[in-house]
Amino acid sequence: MLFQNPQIDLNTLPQIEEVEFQVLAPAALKVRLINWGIIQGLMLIGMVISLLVLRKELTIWHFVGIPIAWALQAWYFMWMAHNRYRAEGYALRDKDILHKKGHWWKNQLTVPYLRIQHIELEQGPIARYFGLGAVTVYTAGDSSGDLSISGITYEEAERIKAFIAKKVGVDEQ
Amino acid sequence: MSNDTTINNPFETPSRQSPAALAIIILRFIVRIVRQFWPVVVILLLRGRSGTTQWWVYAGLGAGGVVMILSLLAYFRTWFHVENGEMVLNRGGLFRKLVQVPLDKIQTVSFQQTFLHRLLNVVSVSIDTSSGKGSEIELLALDRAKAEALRTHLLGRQSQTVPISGDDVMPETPLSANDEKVLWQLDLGDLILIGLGQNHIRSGAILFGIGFGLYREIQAIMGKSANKMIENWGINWQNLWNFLSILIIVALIISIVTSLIRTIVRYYNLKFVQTGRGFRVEAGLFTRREQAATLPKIQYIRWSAHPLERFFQVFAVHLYQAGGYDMSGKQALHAPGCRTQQLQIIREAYFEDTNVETWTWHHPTRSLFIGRFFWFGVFPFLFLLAKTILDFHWIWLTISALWLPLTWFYQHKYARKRAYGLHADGLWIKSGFFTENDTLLRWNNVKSVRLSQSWLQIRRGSADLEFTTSSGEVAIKYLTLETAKQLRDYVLYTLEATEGGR
Repeated sequence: MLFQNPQIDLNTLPQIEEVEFQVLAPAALKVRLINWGIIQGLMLIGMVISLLVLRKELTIWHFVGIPIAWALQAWYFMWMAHNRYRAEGYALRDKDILHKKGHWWKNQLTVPYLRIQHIELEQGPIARYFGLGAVTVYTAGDSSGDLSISGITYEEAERIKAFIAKKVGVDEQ
Repeated sequence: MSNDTTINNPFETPSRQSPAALAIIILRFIVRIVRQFWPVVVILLLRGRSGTTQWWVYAGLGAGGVVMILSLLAYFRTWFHVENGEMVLNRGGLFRKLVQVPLDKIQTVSFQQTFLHRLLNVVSVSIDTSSGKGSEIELLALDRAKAEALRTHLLGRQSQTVPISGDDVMPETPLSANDEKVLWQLDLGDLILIGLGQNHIRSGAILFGIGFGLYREIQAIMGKSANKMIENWGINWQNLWNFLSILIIVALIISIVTSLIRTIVRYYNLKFVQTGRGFRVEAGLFTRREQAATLPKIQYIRWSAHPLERFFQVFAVHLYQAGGYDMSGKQALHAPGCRTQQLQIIREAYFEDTNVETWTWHHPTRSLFIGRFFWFGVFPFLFLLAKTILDFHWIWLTISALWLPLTWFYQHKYARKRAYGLHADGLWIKSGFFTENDTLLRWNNVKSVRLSQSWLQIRRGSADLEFTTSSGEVAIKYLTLETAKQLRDYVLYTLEATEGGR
């Protein structure tokens, strides 16, 4: 037995392992791939310009090696975008909100509603085009305890915000 | 009629700060101007000697006049009072600002005395909440008696309100609200002992590193003439070790003297006082700080001792109280020189059951040692080995040969020293090899729980648990995954099943 307190049977406690996590909206993956495309496109332009400018000082190996290195990292980050999307999820329980993420480094954050100070909704220009939004719940003090879910539909974000606000007993703007 | 009139409220009527605040406002303006324009002033002063028109004297007088007017405005248009359960500050000057802070949101009321404050016999008062935006209200100068009365009123009113958080059901100290007891006080001898006990090897090594880096910079610029310069000083390969020994000793002496001065300036005449509601620390040679921590606001406590402190059985105590991210450093109370009995009083005030025997103790999994040995032992060893092979020198060979056994020994000790005590109401973490640290956290101060796993931990079935409080994180590294999950579920259960508010 883990604890000295004999009144509590740990097996009877609500277990997060039994929670079914919601996946992000499919459009979230599209947004992430667009972001990936923008960054990789800029890198590709930078690489091509550099190779052209420095062509007299470079050997054939540079012209083969550098594009291969670029392609490998581009493939890796696209693969990671899919993996991260699949690994991310959220869940609302009666008394707390959960968020999990990460492929190589996994982490799962749980914030009890009673500890929430305020809630915010966010929507960037690309997310707005796809009808996506983000909801962030803030706790007191250190920002590391704040929980943010992005890549859900804006309606879903509003529903989560309204649900938590009702639980917390505040009417957030 | 305001709510505050039902209870005695000596701060119902708006009042100004002490007249001494005017002097402090003027000084602040002058300091700000000097900081901004000192290079211009220096240039003008130098040019002034040539006998040209000294128009800048008139500009200075004009600036002085403006400073005086702004200071008078800032002083006469700043008022504070307490009404309807809020501390209200009307701040004047050219731009006016109204600040209202609900009394139940106030986390700390701290006093500070600079040299000027002490001359004028006043204190500055900072009133903070957990917003993380710095002090919400700062009163530049109040008479001490008035400041004490304000603090008692602000923090006293909190205890009369209905508890809104689990934080507010902390056990009361045996002292009544107005009682105070000095737990310990540091004299010059104690300060010298503390100053001598600082980590001089680290400071000395940093100084030595800086010196060596400077030499490399000079060598890069001067080339071989740098070596010649050193040879002219009588230093060569034969007496290199003597020279290095002298250099290390000098660096250590400088480090010791610096630490000693810093300790005396920071902790001069330190008094650690137990009050009816918590603790208070007063210390400082030039700027005397006075910080108070009420028990419900203390998120977690930590005490530490390096080998010399352990020999004399003294500890440095740190009380971390609620505050925003930016404030966490300022909000923590640090006090060295605590003896075992006094530490016991502090621990028991925060957490009733501090008998080690009644806690369930766990140790980190083997992955902690493996991971750290890999990162700090094997990886650097590979670099050292490459360096030795490519650029052979017996120094690199010696370091390479010693690296693995030394890091193995240190990481083994490091992992063995870590232990996690679990209790129905809280967590006790023991860690540290040279400097031993103990951290005590009550579960009801936890704001959120994070379970995380690195790639290695996923493979080996272990996990880290991080508990966020209003004063930063307390983490347990490398628990077995099963224990981490059970503990997370239990902490959430205790938070959610027993609390009635935020």
